[in-house]
Amino acid sequence: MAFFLLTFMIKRIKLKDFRNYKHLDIETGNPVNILTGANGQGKTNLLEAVFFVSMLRSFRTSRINDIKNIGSGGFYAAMEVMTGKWAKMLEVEYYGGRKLKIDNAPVVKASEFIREIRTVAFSPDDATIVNGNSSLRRRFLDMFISIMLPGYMSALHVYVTALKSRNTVLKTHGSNKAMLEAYEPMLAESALFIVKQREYHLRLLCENINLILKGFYDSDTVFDIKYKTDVPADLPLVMRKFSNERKKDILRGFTGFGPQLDEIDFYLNGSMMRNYASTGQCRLISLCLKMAEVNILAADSSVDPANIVVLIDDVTGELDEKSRNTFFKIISKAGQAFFTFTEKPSDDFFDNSIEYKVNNGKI
Amino acid sequence: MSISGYPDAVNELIELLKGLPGVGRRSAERMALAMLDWNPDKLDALGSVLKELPGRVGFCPECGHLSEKDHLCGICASASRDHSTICVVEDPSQVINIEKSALFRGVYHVLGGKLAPLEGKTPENLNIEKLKERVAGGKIREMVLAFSSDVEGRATAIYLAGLFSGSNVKITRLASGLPAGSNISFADPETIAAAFSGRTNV
Repeated sequence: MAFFLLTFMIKRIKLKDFRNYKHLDIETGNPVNILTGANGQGKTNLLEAVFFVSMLRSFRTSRINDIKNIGSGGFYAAMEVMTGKWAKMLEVEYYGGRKLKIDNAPVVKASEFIREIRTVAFSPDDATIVNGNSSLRRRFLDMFISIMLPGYMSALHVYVTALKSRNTVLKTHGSNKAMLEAYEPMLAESALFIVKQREYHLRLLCENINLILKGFYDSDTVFDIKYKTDVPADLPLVMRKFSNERKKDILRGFTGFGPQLDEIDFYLNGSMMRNYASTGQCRLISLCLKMAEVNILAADSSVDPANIVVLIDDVTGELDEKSRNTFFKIISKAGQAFFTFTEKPSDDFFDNSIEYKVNNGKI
Repeated sequence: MSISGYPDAVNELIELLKGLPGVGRRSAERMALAMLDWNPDKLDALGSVLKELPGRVGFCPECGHLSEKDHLCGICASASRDHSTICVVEDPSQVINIEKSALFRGVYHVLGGKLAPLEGKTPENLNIEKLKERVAGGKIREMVLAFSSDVEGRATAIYLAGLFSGSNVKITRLASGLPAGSNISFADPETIAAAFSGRTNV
């Protein structure tokens, strides 16, 4: 048995109008859970639901409307989770607006809600984090840091709201210097915080991925992350850049620098993966990226490893036996895992797992 | 009236009540049905209060707070208030709330919103010109900015502070951090962060 923790996170999942689940209420009282079934039956949808209740985002779409069952006015997703010695009920409701509840008490701040479970999702689409444009890597990184550090999400929120406001002012009141300046201290402060956290967490990820790669290959494959930001190093410099760039900003109608333009590039053995890596390499590195996430979360003193949940959507198939074992070893650091497969695999790892057969939105 | 629905008058009342903040269809229905139980005198009183509302209530020409139509508000009219200290707030309900503390003895200025370009709220549609006039009058010594600590509130405070930085008025803002009388164990991380950065000598 790979998992030796007695408490595991998610004990029960309840869904209403979530993707193809009209109604679902299942107990998930096992560390290793396998969802099996033919394609298009709703295996990934269930993983998406687990991710959504933990992170209030989807790993597949940024459009909330995609998530509700076609023809319904919204959706509901809830999970009973163990946090420490007792269970809590986390509920998300999206009918019109978003409503969050923990044990029936309304929760206003998303950052408070997402602190309950730390979820890492492995999905076949992860390769785009490696070979797509920088915005996908920023998105991945922002989500990762938000799990590590709930305050990061608030800083991002402040930054984005202030940035949108300043950009609107640039377009409608460009000549009003005082109005532009009203947003600059906030932008500068949150931008510096965001950049500092991105630098730190990218370094952690990079170190960790190199360790994982050593487990995959004995050869000296070297992975590297290059992070480029145009945000100056300290507050006075950022404030000066705002005033120096103001004229240009007014002409182009938006703020021309900041963490929203940060470049993050992955390098494998010295060549830029976005341009030169093979599909297989991209998949492997994206897998390493998520494994590194699990490693870092599990090593973090503020995170109870039992509170880490991993969701694995169809990504182990392409690994050889040695890599599979490395993979299973790392995800065993989590408290609970949910896998999707068309059929239950034969690895020892799954000996004590519970299988759920998914068939057309029913289990 | 439809066969199975409410009579038209009740439906109209429900529709009107639904327009109020925080009132959904179900609450509006309950309110409307409750009103049907009221005696005619009370309904009449409600009706005439509503009817006279626009004619009786106006904005204080000095500070922009709610007042009896065409009159200064009680605070601006009072000689016992300190007219050299002015507390700038977003809307009238905040004046009422600050007044409950009975601590602030100055006067107010109600902006009628905060700077929110994303919602079309710009300086032109806030009560800022009058504030400039009051400052230019030369009697104001201190301006207290009392806004919430969200992006819009902070931007409004910085904007006003910039606007009056050249004047002789001392500009202050309210402290943010732990709520008074609260238990630190229940504060969220952001509140604690704000309280730490605003800590004072004991």
